[in-house]
Amino acid sequence: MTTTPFDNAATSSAPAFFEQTWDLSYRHALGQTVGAFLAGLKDKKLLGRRCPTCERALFPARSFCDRCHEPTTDWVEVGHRGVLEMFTIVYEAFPGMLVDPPYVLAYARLDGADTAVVGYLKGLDLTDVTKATQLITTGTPIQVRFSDNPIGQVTDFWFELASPA
Amino acid sequence: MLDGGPAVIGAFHTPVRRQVFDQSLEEMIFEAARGALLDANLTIEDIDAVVLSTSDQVEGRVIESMVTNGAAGGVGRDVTTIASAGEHAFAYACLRILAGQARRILVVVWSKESEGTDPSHADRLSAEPFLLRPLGMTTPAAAGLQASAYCAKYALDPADVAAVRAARESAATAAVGTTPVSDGDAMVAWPLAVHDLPRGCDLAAAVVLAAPGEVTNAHTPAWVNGVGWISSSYELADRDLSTFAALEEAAVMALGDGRAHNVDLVEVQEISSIGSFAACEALGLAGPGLGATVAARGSATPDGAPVVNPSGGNLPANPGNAAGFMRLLSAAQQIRGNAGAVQLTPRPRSAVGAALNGFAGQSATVVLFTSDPEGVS
Repeated sequence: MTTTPFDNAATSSAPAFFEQTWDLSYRHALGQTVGAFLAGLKDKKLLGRRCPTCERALFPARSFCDRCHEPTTDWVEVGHRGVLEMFTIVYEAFPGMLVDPPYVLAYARLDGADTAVVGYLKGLDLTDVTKATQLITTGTPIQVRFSDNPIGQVTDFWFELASPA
Repeated sequence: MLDGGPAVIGAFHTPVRRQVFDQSLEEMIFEAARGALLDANLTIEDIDAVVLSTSDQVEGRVIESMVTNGAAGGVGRDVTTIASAGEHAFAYACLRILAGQARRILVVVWSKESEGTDPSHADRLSAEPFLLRPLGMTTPAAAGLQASAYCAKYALDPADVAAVRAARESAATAAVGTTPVSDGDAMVAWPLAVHDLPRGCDLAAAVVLAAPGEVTNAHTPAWVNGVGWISSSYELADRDLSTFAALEEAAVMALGDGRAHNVDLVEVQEISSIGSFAACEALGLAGPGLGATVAARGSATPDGAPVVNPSGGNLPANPGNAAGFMRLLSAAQQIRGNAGAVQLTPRPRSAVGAALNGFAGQSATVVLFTSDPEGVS
């Protein structure tokens, strides 16, 4: 197989690209379970759902357990304290983000929940990444903080290193 | 394990380039399809069916297969499209031949992420929209979480990470002419910097798969003797990210005992340099936490253990939707003796191609290739 060489001399004046921008908007249906979870955030409540088969408290609330393939049944309110399960420090900026990089993206398992939830870990000095990452690891206690005026989005709350109980 | 499985009798990929600006996507697809047919000593008239895999949001063509069908040889033919990943197109084509639905199938896969002006932003569309997307979950962030979880569980020597980076870079330079990046140390998602993460490229690739009765003396086949693929939970919190459970299970499906230690080489997709250790462990090449002892093994193996990623793998050259497919193609080409500058000698008799897709390796595909249709004892 040979590739026909591109004849730059013959086509040097030809346009190389055709640029377009598509500004598409979406309105995603939340479903009742995620809708209720987000509504709970406005009241600073952290709501999960329990799977009747494996009995895990799934947080954030899910309408079904994908492991058992069963609908969840009961609401569970989980605590505002927990432990860190994993984290990374992100240095990329994206349009529409509410935080500037670098930021800590972390998963924490809150008291009463059997699954971890993702959120920002704030309050850590990231100027020295080595020092910062020595302060946190799997099992590090954290607590949830809410914004003063929650609006029903996952960015209403975040994690901070736990103060003594 | 497969009985009477199909064989790869033709393969081709376009040159690895960061940005292909002198060919349209359709021209690249056409070149790959024609190249694979030529390699198989066939024409499009010999093909019963075409299987494609696309990544619409990356290239900005929705229901992309409708646009690219003609370039891939699909006009007047049975065409199906697999949206999840290129390696799934390969597995699906194998199934169709095993089911007797086709005798010769052309599989065409591609990625041209340079057509998007902000590929990272497009990557955010992969995230679930309510809970993950607002927080900035992306493929590199998920890889960072996986690497961080691995580091939290096992002591990691930075020299091992540097060794796997160097091995991949050196091999890929020989295989496809890649060059190292200048800003490799820039942090992206701790503990991963630019040079720890797959670097995007534009590429189209194709293989011709044939039923056993269609393989002639004119072909040098790579026989498909095992295929496995499986998906785990999308929820990162529901998985132990220090390992790739899906890869472990796919390896069991493809290899029986789930261990790739008896083959001559492994081509495995890597979500990061540190992720390569967990991938080797999932394929049974090393025990838990010991993947670093084998991941950089890119050349001679006096103990008879498999070489890992002699092509350099996808860290230096990652064609998005085609990255996993390229691991299968690279493994097959070693069996066929068509691996070019990185061809192993003596020619391998068995090879494993392994692919990951989804955040932090949510799903995995493993294929066992052999030079003998009956496999290698």
